[in-house]
Amino acid sequence: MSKLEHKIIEEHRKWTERVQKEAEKQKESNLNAPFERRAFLKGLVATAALATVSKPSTASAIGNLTWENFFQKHYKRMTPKDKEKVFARIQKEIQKEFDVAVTISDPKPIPGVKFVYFLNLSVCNGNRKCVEACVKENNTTRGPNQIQYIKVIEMNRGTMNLEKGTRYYEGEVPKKDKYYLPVQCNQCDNPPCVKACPVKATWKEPDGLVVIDYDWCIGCRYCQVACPYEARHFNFTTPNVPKEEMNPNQSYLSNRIRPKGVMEKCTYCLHRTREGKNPACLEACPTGARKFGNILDPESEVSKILKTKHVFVLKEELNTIPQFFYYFD
Amino acid sequence: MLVGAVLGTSLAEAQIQISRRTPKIENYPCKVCHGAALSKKNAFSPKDLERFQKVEEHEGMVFQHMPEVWNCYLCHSYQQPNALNLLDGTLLSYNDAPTLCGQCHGIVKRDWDQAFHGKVSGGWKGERTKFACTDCHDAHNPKFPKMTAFPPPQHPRKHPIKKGE
Repeated sequence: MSKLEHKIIEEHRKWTERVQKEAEKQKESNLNAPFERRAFLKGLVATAALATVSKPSTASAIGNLTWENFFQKHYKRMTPKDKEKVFARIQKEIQKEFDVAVTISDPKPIPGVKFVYFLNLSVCNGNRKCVEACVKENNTTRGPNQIQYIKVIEMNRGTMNLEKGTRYYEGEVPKKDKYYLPVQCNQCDNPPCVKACPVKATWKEPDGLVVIDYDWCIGCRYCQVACPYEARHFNFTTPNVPKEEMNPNQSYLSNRIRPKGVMEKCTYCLHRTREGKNPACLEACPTGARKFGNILDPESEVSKILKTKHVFVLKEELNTIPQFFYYFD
Repeated sequence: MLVGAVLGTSLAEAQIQISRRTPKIENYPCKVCHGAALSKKNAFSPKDLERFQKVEEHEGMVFQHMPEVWNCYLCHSYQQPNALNLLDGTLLSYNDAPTLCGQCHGIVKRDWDQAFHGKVSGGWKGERTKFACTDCHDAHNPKFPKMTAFPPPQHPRKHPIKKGE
């Protein structure tokens, strides 16, 4: 086993322990005091809300303040019954707004699985097929306020300075003396975005994915500032997704239609990957530069790559411990 | 433990299937035109190759492999038109093309065997398909072609967000 592999497994073990401890602590404190944000909001605004939203009504558009939205619980505190209700509400809202029948699923993390991504920079030719697939799969906003989870940075050959690269190249690729560095969410093991969130609307799942509860997010954008990889994006407008291009296979934590004023980010397509499929960007890549898998399985391709190739991560000095690795071969 | 290790590897390999190439030539079997087998392997010259590229049936074919590679029968079998042959003359199905490519491109073949090089489609666990060499590379013109990139995101300075958008 290589040094790096040891380090990764060790970090994961530490992280699991830390999360378990925190969960236990949380359980104890929950018995004594209610959740901070809810208590605060309930105390301050409940009376005002009662005055404005006098009776329960169906949502007219996505993310509007309604009775059900306001008293919806945090994802982690929802019972299966609550979830059913919430998913039904979201489906109804999307049906009303876009006239598309979608299914909201909620795949759970698989025990003993930790997702990592590998990208072969010698092979990537910067054709942005991954970006195209990602936009379609994740129902991100198109048009003037478009959101793209993957940025492909065109870099001069032999350099590693991200500031000298450009995101806005076009035309025929690969260009002479350039290489291409796709950057998306690194799903860090020590995520600064999670630490920055004041309402705990974002957290790290046991399989390594950093997710957001879009209905709990207050849109303060602290996480966007905290992220050194520019992986988090803010919805400035109501979602602009063409009806015929919408992906109906949606999940609560990943690619459902996001309301205006919340953050969103890459989740390694958890509605696909937790069911054994590959992320959409990998399936779209014509060069085969992308490799995805379970790092805790020693027989998987990704652990073999980690053992044999000289891999590196972006901005290692920040100690974010990214789970997205690059290599040249 | 040894048995377990062997079983484990064989299971992992069984889950990755190499994509099959023979269905691609079902409609255009080589033997329709090249019915008769050639008697001699080296009855071929670089001029013949130029001539073949102008023939109607192979019109779109561009041949740009290594400069030394100009003999069709280096890879295609001269005895049996619907098969390939290795350098030692062993006949090979089109499905086993990676073995043939690996004769010269050993380092890439080693990476491909372990699924480091090339695309594996269908999921990160369970049944999945590994693309063969000729799924991505044109065997006659193996350099990966230039592509047109998907349009870039809008530059914030060129397209500032207007009020009300």
